[in-house]
Amino acid sequence: MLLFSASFAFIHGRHEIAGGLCDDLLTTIVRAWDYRKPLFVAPSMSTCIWRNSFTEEHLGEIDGLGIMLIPPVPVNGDLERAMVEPATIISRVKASYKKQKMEQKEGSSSTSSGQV
Amino acid sequence: MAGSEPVRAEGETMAVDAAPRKPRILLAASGSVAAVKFANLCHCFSEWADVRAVSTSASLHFIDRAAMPKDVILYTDDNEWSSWKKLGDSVLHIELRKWADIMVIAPLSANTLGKIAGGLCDNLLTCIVRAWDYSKPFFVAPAMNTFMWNNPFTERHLISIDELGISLIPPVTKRLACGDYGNGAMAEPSTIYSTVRLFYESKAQQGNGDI
Repeated sequence: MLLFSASFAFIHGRHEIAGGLCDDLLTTIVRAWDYRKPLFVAPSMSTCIWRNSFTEEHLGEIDGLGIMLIPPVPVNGDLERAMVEPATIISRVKASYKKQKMEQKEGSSSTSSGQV
Repeated sequence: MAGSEPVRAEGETMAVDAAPRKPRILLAASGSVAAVKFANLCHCFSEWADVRAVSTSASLHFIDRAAMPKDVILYTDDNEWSSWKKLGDSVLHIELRKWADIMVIAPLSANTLGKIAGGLCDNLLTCIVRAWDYSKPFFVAPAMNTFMWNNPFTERHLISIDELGISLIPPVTKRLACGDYGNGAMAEPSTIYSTVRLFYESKAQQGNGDI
């Protein structure tokens, strides 16, 4: 069964993941992750940090690895970027999981019927 | 000036007819379970060279300090902070960088590899690396779980350190401490020692004893 991780991506943690650092349990798991398995991040930070050029760079890095972003939403008159609601994270992960299962099913049925 | 002693690049004076001194090797350990072999590595080198050792706080979980050679000083982050009291005092990571002819990090953990590749310097070891003179030899012997070794970050980081001129002593495939079988185990201390010594002696032959 595929593993999914929905995590709070705070500023420092996001930099550690993008830089390949691993000095705690979470970042060590990410550093050893098999990127054929889905990995989700749900960031949360102030808007000025979200708009900082480093953030764009780090998001580019993690996107390149195949990590899926669940983007934050503006709150407090756009002063902050809050993590999306847990229900949204759950539905996003479920949808991704269902889609993957469907693709696997289609893949196995087309193989068994002699199609490549 | 007639009769004055020649001065080396780092400001260290040398007697004109002095016998060639032993090579100065700075051995360092970062936080991998392979650091259990660090005392053994220090013993391998201490017969041949003047050795000083550096350890990260994570590596101290694995290093048996009692087994270290008696003549080898083991420096930690605590020494970095306690040795500096006021402006004008020497800075430990700079002093060690000046002192060493060769640096060897064994084991090099995935985390410290990432820090070096990114130019981070938040402890004694990475501050020495950040100040290193890359005209002097620098070897690393990585040690990590196979999943980490095969992770895409490792290749990126190895390319970065290769561009700096750091020489890789690659890990070997064997049963790892965690029980997994695969690539990522640190090369044996004897292999690390012979690699460094062969390199040093071949360079010394080419350049009349100076690296």
